[in-house]
Amino acid sequence: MRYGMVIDLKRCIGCRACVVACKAENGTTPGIFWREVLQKEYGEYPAVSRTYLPRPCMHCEKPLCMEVCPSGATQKRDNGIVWIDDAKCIGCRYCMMACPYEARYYLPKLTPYYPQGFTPYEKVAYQRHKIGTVQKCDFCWHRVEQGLNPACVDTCLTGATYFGDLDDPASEVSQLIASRHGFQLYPEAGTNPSVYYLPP
Amino acid sequence: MMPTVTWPLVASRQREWRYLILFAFFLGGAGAGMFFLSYFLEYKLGIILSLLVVGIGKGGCHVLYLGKPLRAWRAILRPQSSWLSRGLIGVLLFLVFGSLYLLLPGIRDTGVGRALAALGLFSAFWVMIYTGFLMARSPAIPFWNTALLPVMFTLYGFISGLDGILVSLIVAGEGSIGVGLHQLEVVEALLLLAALVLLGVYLMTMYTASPGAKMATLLWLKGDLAAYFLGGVILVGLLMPLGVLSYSLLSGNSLLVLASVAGFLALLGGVLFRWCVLRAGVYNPLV
Repeated sequence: MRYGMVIDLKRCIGCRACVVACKAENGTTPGIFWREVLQKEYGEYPAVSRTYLPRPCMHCEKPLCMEVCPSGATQKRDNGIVWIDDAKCIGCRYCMMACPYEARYYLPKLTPYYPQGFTPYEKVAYQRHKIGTVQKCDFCWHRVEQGLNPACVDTCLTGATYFGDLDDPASEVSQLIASRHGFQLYPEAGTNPSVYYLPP
Repeated sequence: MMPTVTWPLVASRQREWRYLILFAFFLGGAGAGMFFLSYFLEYKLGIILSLLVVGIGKGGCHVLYLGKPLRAWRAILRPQSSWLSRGLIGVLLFLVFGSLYLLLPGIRDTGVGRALAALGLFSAFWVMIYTGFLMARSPAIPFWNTALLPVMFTLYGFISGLDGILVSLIVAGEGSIGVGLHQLEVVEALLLLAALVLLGVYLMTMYTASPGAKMATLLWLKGDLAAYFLGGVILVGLLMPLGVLSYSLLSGNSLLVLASVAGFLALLGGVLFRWCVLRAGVYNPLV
């Protein structure tokens, strides 16, 4: 089994509900976006268009972050999900240099979103984040192991994000990739990402 | 507030490796180069300084930089895949072999002594070269992803090592080394010329390598790093020392103060070179 994600760029409207859902689910601190939405404008007025590109961690089959990690903190589960053991991370940030997708973030300190201080939600949610370590999207593993989808998948308003087993040719994600010519970002890096995009 | 991020990520640069990593890399290269050259020059002060520079300077900077310094020992756990582990193991071995060589002068002419020296030299070379491999392993940052980087870092290791020796001779005196000052000046000049050529080759290669590499090259030549690179690395770090050395060599009377000035200028250039490489770490656009 190899978990993967398919993102339909034709459906994505750039609402960033997935970004907010990720933040709410995982309690990330200001400036850290485990899932970002990149955007690009094409053309000139009056013929202008915009495309959005959600960018979670790619959970690569050959993750460079795992290769360069000196402490063994970055690991890959049997189901393909790449995760970070924050009890082993030394905060050297070599993985951040190696990741072609800039999907990793270093946590120097815990900061509240509001000047009044930490909200009750932040006081609880921030407990899982360890200062001085690197963190990233983990496909909401705590949900996936309960049979749920990652938060971004369930929240997507237009149904642009799919999640499933890339090793199962009958799965929805595999069939979408095959029928709609799904592509990966920066394939020349040789990492074989588990996140595919359907052309806009 | 959520950022509006455009793609391709225009000139998106790495922001994490800055001053402490700069000095860790610089002190490691300079210290190891100093050890390597001091061995052949029979320069005891150079060997002592090199071990201090690498052990306390490089080691201290690395540990201070970590998000979890108390876990620093974990950094050597994955030499099978991580250049960081391989390099730091090399640093430790260098400190051990180098210290033993220094502390056991009585056995230097024995087989064990010569083996210690060889291991010390090999590990010193490793300390110089590994940071180049470490950075070159990032296809994400094409300006670093080249076989030229380990070569340049090693060359600058030798240059900075020799610079350190030239500067320290102000205190130790010319008689502390086993060769004449004139010969050191010739070697320094040749190394600086080699650096000039290699930098030219590096920039020509990177300009056509990929969009990210081209962006980084332009940062060095026309962007916010131009002052550091053209003014610092090239002018202060290479051309001015070459000018001073040329005057000293052509006058036929090598003066220690001139050689030390050239060494000091080239040392500054060595620091700025590594700074420019780190700051030009531009990620390749994703699409």
